[in-house]
Amino acid sequence: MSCRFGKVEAVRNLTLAVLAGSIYAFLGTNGAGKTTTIKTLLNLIKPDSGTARVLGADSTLLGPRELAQIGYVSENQELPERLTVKQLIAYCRSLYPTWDESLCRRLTEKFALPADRPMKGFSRGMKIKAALLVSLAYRPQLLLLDEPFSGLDPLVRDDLIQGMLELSEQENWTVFISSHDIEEVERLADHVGIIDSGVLTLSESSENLRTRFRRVDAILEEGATASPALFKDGLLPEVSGSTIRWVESHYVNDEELGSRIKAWLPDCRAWTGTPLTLREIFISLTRAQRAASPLSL
Amino acid sequence: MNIILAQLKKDIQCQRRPLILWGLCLGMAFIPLAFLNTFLKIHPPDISKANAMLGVLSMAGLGVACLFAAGLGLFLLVPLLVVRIVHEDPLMGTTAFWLTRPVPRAKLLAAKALLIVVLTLPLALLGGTGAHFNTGLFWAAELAWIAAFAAISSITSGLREFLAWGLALFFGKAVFAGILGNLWGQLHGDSPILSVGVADQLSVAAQAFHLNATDFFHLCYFAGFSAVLVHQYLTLQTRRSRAVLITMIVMVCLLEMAFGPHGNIPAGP
Repeated sequence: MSCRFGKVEAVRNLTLAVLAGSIYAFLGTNGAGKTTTIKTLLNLIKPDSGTARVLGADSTLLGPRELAQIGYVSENQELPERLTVKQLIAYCRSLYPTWDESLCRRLTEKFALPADRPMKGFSRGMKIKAALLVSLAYRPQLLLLDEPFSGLDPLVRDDLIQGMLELSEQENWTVFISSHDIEEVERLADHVGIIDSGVLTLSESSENLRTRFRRVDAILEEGATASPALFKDGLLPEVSGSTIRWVESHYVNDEELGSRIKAWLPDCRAWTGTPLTLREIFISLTRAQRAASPLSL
Repeated sequence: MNIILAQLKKDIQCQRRPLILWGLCLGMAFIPLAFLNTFLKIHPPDISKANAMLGVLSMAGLGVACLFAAGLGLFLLVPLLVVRIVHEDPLMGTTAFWLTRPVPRAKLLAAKALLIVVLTLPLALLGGTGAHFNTGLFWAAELAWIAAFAAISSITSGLREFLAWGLALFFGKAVFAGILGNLWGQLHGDSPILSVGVADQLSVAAQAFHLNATDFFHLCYFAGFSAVLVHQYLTLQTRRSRAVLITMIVMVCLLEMAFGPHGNIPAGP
């Protein structure tokens, strides 16, 4: 699907499938198109072309029946702040036939929210917790989280992630979480998608991603030189004296990579391949995408 | 029904403070009325008893003062409440809480309309008393104004935008009607746009409901504003709702002009 705001194409030809039961981290920089994608999934924005299907239904036809199975928490969502948490719970309880009172009680205790104070005076973290509480207590099949950790202090973030992890063990839900706080979602996600300037640059399992990316440092013999152009399959190649560094995006095993390096760099004396964190992978891909767009990864 | 009641309860909880004020005004308006009514029945005024008469008069004066203060309070408070109730669950933008919750739009509209009717009813009853003081029907004007407040709130995202739209429409309509009236006057004098036969038929229809010209046009505005409100709630197409609103105002303006520059439907019985 594609979404356009005037002359700006916020999402361009996005093709993406999220497996039921997975926790999918949708990563991207500010303005990459994450929020637009999530809003399209919720029928808050209509796609200009293409379609999005959510729980088997066309997103533009989502009605109360489908929304009753979807939980949504966003940094931009406006809660009815004149209500107290208790009143908000009472209101939401009547909207959802699947509302689980015992889960609601557990979450209320876990999040330690003041039940009788209007939410207007709440901090950002408390508001996010309240939103999460009324988005989880009916055991949604799909949970859409749009930058839920943005602007929260590390303690609250950790609380939320712990809560999500605990629930994930018990619930058979699908979670689609957009964020630019990569360290936070790394603990949660089993699938990762990266979007940059409205274009999806990658979508695969986190395990696969961690396996196929390596930072490679190769040391050449004295006096030998190599051009970065040699590494057209590597990302962000840097040459510094006799050391060459790049990000390898097709790593299979040391043997296979070693033979490739030998073919490219006959003068290579030694090399090391270091696994990358999700954050490093994200930065490498985004930088590479911007340096040589469009780039097939 | 559960959802309508839950929505209603939520709106009442959200508007707790202005609703308490509304209740106080209501009490101030109706308690003196009821008290005076009972007092005068038990102690019918006797001119020979000067002191009792003075007491009755001072009580009546206090009651009337309370009544006017409360009436004024309600008159100012009800439109404010209407705007707040509609804005509480915004129909524009993509950040409203209810948009991502299983709240059917028709039920949301039903809950809001129910609350607005309940809040407006006492003012209409007070207006009914007030109608004795003037020739027009207060409730027709009140319906039109309340519907206008609700409709404009539904197509705006906040109080500031509401005020901008409200003022623009109010003055825009006056300017449009003025220009149209002058143009028509220069071209055709005092003759109505509609043929006398059509105008007469409309007049008869209006009179059948005991309406004079002002009431008739107020009810036209009420119907138009209600249509905008329903359209916005059911479709969430703000641009189209705004177009419907402007078209409706132009149409009623033209209808007013159709009866001649002064909108002369003969006064009802």
